[in-house]
Amino acid sequence: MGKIRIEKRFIDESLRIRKEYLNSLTELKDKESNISKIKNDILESYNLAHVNDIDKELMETKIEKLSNDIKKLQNDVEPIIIDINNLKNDADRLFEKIKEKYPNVTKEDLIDSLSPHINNIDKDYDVF
Amino acid sequence: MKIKTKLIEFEKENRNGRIYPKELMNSVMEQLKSKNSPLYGELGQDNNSFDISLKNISHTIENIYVDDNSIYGNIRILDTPKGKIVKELLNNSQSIGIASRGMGSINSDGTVSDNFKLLTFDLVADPSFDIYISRNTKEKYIDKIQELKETWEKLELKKDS
Repeated sequence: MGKIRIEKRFIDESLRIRKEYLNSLTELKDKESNISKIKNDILESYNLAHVNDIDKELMETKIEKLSNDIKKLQNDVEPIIIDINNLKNDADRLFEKIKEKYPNVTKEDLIDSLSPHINNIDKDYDVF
Repeated sequence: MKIKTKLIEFEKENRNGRIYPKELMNSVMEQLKSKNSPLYGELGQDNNSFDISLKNISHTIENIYVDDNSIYGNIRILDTPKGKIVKELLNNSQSIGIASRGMGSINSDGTVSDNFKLLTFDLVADPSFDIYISRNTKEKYIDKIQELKETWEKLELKKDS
């Protein structure tokens, strides 16, 4: 079928989904350094736990801090992941609506038609 | 929480006056290896029951092997209600015993007959062999870090999916 002319409401919805997706991805990327830091803290705590003469006070402080950091990271990251999954569902629903309106359209046709709009948004984000 | 431990001893009289002859060891190993994995065990033991009660499962038994006159393996404590009790007890420096559960006849000299069928290993307060699991300070710290690591890994996996 090739490139098609899609109704504006569908384009607007796809742009909303894309923007929110990129915002979520940016938020997730901002947490990357915390995620790596926690990985290092886990390794460091492992090493501390394996020494012969364990400093219990230090160990307990480390574990408590690690536990709080992981809880905080969970609270920060899990809602973003839920948002991204919801956006994936929104995208599927949108595709179904477009299919209803244009029964012969394929995913490739849709991508062809929407990519100029989406590329405009993508260039403002640095997440890829 | 995973604990490497002895599970059962052969050629040694236990508190019930029973002796598991060494000849039984290979048969017990074969029985254990042929079971559907994972092999579940319960907290507490109902000697009259030959079924695993799902609500009482606290652990799995993995990586079973023979050394000398004993069978060893890893007890993995699960996050089930009964598993959580086990973890809490171990974290409070309690030792918990391991008891085999099986069925078979006993010969007049106290030896267990070769028709013995081993079902599982349960965690109990008063085991017939002196086999207990416990956690020292270092192990408790490592368990805690391991738990945190697993939480972190789950999060990392979710993020990447």
